[in-house]
Amino acid sequence: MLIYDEHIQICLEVASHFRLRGCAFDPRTRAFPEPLAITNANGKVVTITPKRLFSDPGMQASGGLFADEELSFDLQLFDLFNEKPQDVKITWKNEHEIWSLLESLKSDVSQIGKSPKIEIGRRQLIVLSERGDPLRACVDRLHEWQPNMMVKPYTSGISMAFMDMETLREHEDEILTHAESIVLLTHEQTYPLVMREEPWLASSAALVLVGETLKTDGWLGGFANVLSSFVGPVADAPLSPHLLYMLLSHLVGYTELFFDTHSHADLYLYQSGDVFSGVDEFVREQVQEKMTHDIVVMSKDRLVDLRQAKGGDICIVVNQRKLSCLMDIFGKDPYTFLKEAYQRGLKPQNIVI
Amino acid sequence: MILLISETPVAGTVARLAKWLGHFFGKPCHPIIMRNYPNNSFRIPMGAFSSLPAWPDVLKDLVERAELIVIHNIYAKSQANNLIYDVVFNCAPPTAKILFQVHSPPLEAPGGLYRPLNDYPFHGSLVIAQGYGRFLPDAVSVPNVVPDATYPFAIRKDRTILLPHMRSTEFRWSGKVTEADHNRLEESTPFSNGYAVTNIHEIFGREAVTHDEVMLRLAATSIVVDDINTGLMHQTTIEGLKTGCYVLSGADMYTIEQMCETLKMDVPPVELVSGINDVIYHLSDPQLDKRVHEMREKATAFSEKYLAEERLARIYYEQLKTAL
Repeated sequence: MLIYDEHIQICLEVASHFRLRGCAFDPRTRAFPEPLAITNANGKVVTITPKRLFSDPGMQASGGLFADEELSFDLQLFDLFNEKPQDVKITWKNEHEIWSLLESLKSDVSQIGKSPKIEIGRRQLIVLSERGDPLRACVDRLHEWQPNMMVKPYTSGISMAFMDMETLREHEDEILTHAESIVLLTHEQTYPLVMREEPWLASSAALVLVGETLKTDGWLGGFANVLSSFVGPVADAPLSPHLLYMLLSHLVGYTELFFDTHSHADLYLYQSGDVFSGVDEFVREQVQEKMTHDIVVMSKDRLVDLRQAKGGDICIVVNQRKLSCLMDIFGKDPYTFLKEAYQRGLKPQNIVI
Repeated sequence: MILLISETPVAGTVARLAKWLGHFFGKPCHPIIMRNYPNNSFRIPMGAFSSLPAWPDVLKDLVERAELIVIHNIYAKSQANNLIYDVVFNCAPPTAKILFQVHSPPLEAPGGLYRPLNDYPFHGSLVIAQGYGRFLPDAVSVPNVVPDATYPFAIRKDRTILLPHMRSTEFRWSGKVTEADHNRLEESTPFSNGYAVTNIHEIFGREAVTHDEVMLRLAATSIVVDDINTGLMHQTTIEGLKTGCYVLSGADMYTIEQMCETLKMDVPPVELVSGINDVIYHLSDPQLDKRVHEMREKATAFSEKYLAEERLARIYYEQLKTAL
C-alpha cells in the first residue's frame, strides 16, 4: 500500500490492528521523515524509530525506496499499546495526519466480498471444520462480524483459509510443498478425521486443538501453551467466535514467533543458570558445527536424573526455533523449565563441559 | 470388591495386578478382560469375558457390588466399549471410586487424545512410572509390576544382543528402535566384540511372545537394547535387569526421576544412551566384556534390592491408595 503525501512517501507492507510494517521516505532530504509517530484512539503517541530492515523485493520495487538505508519500521501494535488498538494513525510533526487504519479499512471494504475464502500462501493459517462442528459456527459468525479477517494485507501477510476436509484434500499438494502451516481444529470432530484420513497434516503442520483442550494439549509440542499464555483467560473458556478471533489475531500478530520457525538460524537463547567459563566459546563452536538441538543443558557432571537440575551447576540455552513452544515458561528455574519441556515432548540434550 | 476392566490382557498386567491387589486389600479383586490378543498370547484367568452371551448383565451385577473399579487402557469407541463405560458409570454405587490407568502414549493408537478421561467423570488416573507421567502430570504414578522368574536349572549366558522391540513407527513415542537403527546395529556387528544381534522374531518365529518366554530367553542373554529414541522406558529394561543383563536404554531425565521417586530407589544400573550412535560406541568399546560383567553384577544386586515383584506390587498398592 503506497501513501503519497505532500511531504513524505510511505509504503506499508503490512497494516493491521496488530502490526504495522513498512518504510517512509522524505523525497526532499532522501531520509526518514522525522518525527514520524503513530497514535491510537486513546491518544497515546509512539514515535517511530527507523531501522535498517530487509524488506520484500516487491515492496522495495513498488515503493522505490532504499532498503539498505534506515528507512524501515516494523511495529507490533499489541506491544506498543498493550491492547489491540481500535484505530492507528500515522502522524508527522505531531499534527499532520497522514494515514488512518480505520479509514483505510473502510475504503477497502469493497474488496472484502471479492476475497477468496481459501487463500493458499507460503505462510498459512488454516481453520479446519466440518458441518455441525462448533468451530464451523464460530467461523461463520466471525465472517459476519469481522470479514476483513480474510484480507491478506491485514493479516501480517499470512494466508488464511477456512476449509473442510474435502477442500483440504484438494489442496494437499500446495500445502505440503509450499506452505508453512498452522492448523486450528477441534479434538471432537476434525482431529480424529485428520489422524485417520489425512495423517500427512499432523507431520507437516503445527496442529492447535481449540476448545476445551486448548490449555492441556502440551503433547502437541507446547505450541498451544504459548498461544494460551498470550490469549489469556479466554483460553479456559469454551469455544466461541471471540476466542477464535483472539487466537487468529495473536497468530497473525506475532508472525516471527509462530511462523518461519524452521528457517530461523540456530541462534541459542540463554534460558537460565550460571554461565561458567567456556560456555560461550563452546556454544559458538557447536553452532558453527550446525548443532541443531532444541534445548541444550550444559553441566560439569553428566545429568541423568531430572532432580539434578534442582540447584545444580547447569546452564540452559534454547534454540530460537523452539521459542514458539517454550516462550510462556522462559526464565523459569531450570528444574521447572526442563520438566515442562519434557511434558511438551521436547528432547533436551545434556552436554558435559 | 475390586474390578479391573480391560479390553485386552495389556501384556498380562491386569491379571497380575488383580492377584496382588486382592492380596493387599484383603478383598476379592477380579480381572475382567474382554478378549485375548489374536494369537491368544496371554492366559486370561477367567477366560475372555465377552464370550459370555449376556456379559453386560454379568458386568452390571459385578459393578453394582464394586468399591473400586480401575479401567485399563480402553479407548476405542466401539459398541462393546461404550457399553462398558455406560454400565460402569451408571451402575456403580455412589461411594465406588472409578480410576483409569493409562498404558499407552498419546497422539497415536490406541491412546489418541485419552478421550475417555475427557468424556467420563473418573475420580483419578494412574500412569506407569516409566516416563509416562509427562502425558498426565496430575495422574498418580504407579510401578510396572514385573514378575520374578526363578529356574530350577543353571542358565549360561551367550554372546547375544537382544532387540526385543519389533514394531516401530514414525510417531514421536513409538519409534523405540527404528528399522534404520536395526540396520546400523547389524552393520556394526563385526565390531561388537563377538556379540551378535538377534530379535524376537529370529528366536521365536513370531512377534508376540509372553513375558515368561521373554524372561527365559533373557536369562540366557548378555545384552538388551531397550527404547533408544523416545526417552521413555519399557518393561524390557526391568526384565533385563531382573535377569542380570547389561541394558542399554535411552531413558531421559524425566523418566529416571519419575521411576526413582515412585519406586523409591537409586538410578537403575543401565547404560544411558542417546541414540544408535551411542549404542554402537558402547558395543564397539574394546573394554565391553569388562563393562558387561560389571553392569550385570550391578543389575542383579539392584533387582534383588528394588525390583522384587512383591515390592513393586506393594508400592503399586500404596500409590493406588493415594488416588482414592
